[in-house]
Amino acid sequence: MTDRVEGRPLEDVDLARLARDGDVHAYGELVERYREVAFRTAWLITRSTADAEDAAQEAFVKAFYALGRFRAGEAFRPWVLRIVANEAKNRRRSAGRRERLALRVAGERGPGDAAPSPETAAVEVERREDLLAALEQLPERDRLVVAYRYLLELSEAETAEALGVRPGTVKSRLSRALGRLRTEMDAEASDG
Amino acid sequence: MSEERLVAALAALGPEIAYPTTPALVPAVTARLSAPEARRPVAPGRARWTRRRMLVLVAVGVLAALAIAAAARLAIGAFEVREQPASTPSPSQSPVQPGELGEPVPPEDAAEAAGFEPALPEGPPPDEVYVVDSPFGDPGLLYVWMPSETYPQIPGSEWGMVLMAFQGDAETVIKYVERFEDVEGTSVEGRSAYWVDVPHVVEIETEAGFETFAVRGNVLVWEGEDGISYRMETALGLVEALELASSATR
Repeated sequence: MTDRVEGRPLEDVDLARLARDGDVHAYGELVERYREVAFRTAWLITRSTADAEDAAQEAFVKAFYALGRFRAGEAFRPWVLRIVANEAKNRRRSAGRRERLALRVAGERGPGDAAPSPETAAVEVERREDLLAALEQLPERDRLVVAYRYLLELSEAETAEALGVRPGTVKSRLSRALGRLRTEMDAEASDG
Repeated sequence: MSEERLVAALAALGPEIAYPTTPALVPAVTARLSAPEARRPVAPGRARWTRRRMLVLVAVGVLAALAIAAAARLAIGAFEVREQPASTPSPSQSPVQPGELGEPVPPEDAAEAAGFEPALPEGPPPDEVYVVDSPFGDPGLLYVWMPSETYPQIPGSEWGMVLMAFQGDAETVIKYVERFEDVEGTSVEGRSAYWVDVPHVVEIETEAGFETFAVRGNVLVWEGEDGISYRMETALGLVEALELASSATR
């Protein structure tokens, strides 16, 4: 991490300014900060590891050349996630109806892993596999907004930016999606 | 399950998702940006061939510029034009099928369903309205009119006029033309617009994936007020189409 001022890491806006002046190293720090959320944002759209990597890499390159349009005061993360999402969408479009990887939970914890948090325990009680299966049953427009908002923990504004919709659309889609998920989970509970 | 508990469960599920390992993007990105042929970012005010400038050029009809920027993309709101060889529709390709794009809604409920109210052209009211809701972008509305004296039948289609309206700029509808020169720049009430009067292909993103249709009518795309963009497919000529579009802005 860059320590250029009194030992403090530089803010995104400072790194973006340096990058705009041609400092590729500064830009590399921005890429490092956001590569994970960028890759996962792309993966949730493409459901292909290779396509998500290509999309994220291409998006960061395009974002570098577009830094001239990055406005002072704007947050870098949602700005770049919009570019990432567009690249991922284009790759998914090219891929056509090719089979996509499903969402799944990670394997069991190892003996050295920390004990699950109370929230995690709650998920286990509520059958996290059922929840994931219910999420996968949602229409894509609803599934993506839930995945961005809750699985990736993007803010509403970032979710809106990544999907290219108004914040009001994020709210209405979330409300609809949560309603469907609740119905599905309640049905599972009564069946089980 | 309460909504509060559901949200907590989803938030707790996030770290449990088995994403593929995030690749080390920094070396690849910085290597590409450090390559001898790499450019530097274009500073504000010196941007060349930005989308906005492209649209201005289109609006004033500087068609030669389009050939220069053949690799670029043209976009107005939710409607984007891409140049792609072999974009002439095949004889078997169907025209826009509203029922494959969205759910029909009563006209009086359309604005509420989409969350915005498009301005419709003066004249007979639409016969059917559909809500188009894709994974990306805000919901859109698709209006269709049966053929009539006012709206002659679109070649190869059962409709007299098809009007799509979207809010926002997430590109939901992609038009593929053989050559950018097939796209004629014009304006509606001073706002950017383009006109395509050659057969081409349109691809629309829906819940079911990407639906591709043949377009054998004439198409006017324009930017309305409040971030709403419109696409009108008609058998009418440019002058009549522009009058209709202008009537929608009044």
